[in-house]
Amino acid sequence: MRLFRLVAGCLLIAAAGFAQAADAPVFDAAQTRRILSHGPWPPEMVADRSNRLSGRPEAIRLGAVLFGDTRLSGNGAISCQSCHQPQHGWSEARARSEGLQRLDRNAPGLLNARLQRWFGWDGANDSLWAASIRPILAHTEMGGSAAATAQLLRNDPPLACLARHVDPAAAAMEDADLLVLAAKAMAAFQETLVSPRTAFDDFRDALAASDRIAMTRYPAAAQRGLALFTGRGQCGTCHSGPNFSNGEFHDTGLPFFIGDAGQPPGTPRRVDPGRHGGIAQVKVNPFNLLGRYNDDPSSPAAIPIRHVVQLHRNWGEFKVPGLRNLIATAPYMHDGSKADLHAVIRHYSDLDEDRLHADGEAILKPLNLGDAEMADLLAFLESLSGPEDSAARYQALRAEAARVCP
Amino acid sequence: MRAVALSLALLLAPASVLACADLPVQARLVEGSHFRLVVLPDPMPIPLNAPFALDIKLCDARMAELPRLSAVDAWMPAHRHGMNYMPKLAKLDWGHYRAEGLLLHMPGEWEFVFDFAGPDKPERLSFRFDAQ
Repeated sequence: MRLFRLVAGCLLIAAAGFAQAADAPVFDAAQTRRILSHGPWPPEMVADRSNRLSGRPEAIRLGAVLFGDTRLSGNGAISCQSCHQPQHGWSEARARSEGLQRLDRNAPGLLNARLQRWFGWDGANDSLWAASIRPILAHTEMGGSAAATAQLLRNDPPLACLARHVDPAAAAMEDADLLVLAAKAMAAFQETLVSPRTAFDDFRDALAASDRIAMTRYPAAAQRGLALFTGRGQCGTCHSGPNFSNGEFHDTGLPFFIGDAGQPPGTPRRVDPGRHGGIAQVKVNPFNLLGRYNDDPSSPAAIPIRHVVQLHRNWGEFKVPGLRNLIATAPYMHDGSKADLHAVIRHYSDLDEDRLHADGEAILKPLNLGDAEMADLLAFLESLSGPEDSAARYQALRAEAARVCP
Repeated sequence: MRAVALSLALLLAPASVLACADLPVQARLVEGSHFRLVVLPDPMPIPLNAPFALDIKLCDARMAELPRLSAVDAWMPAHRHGMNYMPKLAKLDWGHYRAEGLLLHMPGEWEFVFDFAGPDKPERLSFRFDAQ
């Protein structure tokens, strides 16, 4: 009797699997190749050669402490964590960040940040450590300084102790060098923020292994959404690779003007230049990879800044965000103007072609999706998220630091 | 006489100009109206979304009439845009060039373009490549 029940149960499960597979799409060779290109996950951890502290446990520990330290800001009330909150995928729930002033953009999530080439929505930095310096010094964000950061690292006993573990000569460094050390430690910490494997990754690996039984465990709606993503939608053209981002910049038809509600009538509208401004900034940034703070000028990471050029079409372009664990990072887009993923999908479905650059991306067209297609695409996007424990690991690192250097 | 001059030119030409046989699988041989071009990517094969260089060698060109490579670029015809990066071109030897700093940031069909300033008129050679 038990054997009968077991066999019947297996048959039911198999039948359910085949029933699900029946309304799942069939991927052609080109789509299969594109799906496989979104993995494997997680990618191998490769140290950042421009950062001598990359991957070093004592630097990761110091970086985790500094990431949450409000004393890096001019008013002593703002830390990196104020806008990059662990519970929101290291982004935040508000549309536009609030530093010392209200900012023009949404705080980008930091999961998988180490896989990027350019940092920030406009790519105004070419390393994670330079991107960690920018908000500290920006008068609109944290309003700190190299001198104040250096003084904190020299004079605060726990921080001085942690910095000494990273570099015994830290206390004797110049202010700018100590600021860079702090930023490189924070970058070493942020490199550890990696999103987990997801239902999509299981499907992708099953597809690679031609394991049809394992493939049926991936919901049919997500499979149909994946077919749209890699097929008619051409989403994977920009959201490419294991992190679902090509790391470059595109104009996707969002309004040029910054929404400044509550301004008196007649107030000139402001425009966010996006990548156009980002290129201008990164070229003159003393902390870029062509400068003296790069620990390995021969690293391939320094090639892009040598060759990047400012083009007219860069105006209003913003970085293609990665899509892993995006559920946690709402609202969306560089200005946080889309409250949820449904609004993002609708944006691409109803794309305003008149707003796009004449010399921009020619394949960007309204997708004109039906309700069922939108639901499928949403199911696929949601399958790129999974439970992750970076917030707990962050707290553990900070607790460990308090034990090592009380 | 002309044949002797050509033979002498070929004999005197450096090895790089003549190295257009026994090419690796990833090399591309591009046919022009007066000469051929061999393009070797570095690294091989051409990566998607990562920097690479091109080693470019002329074949069949007589020394006295060697055309000069003036620009290398790549663009996506279906997307109507090019790369976000400007390659830097360096002449290594007679008929031998290297273009650094190329990056194909999207999958799909790219066209590589090589502009030559010849003794008579400019010539453009190209080939298409499916980046995946």
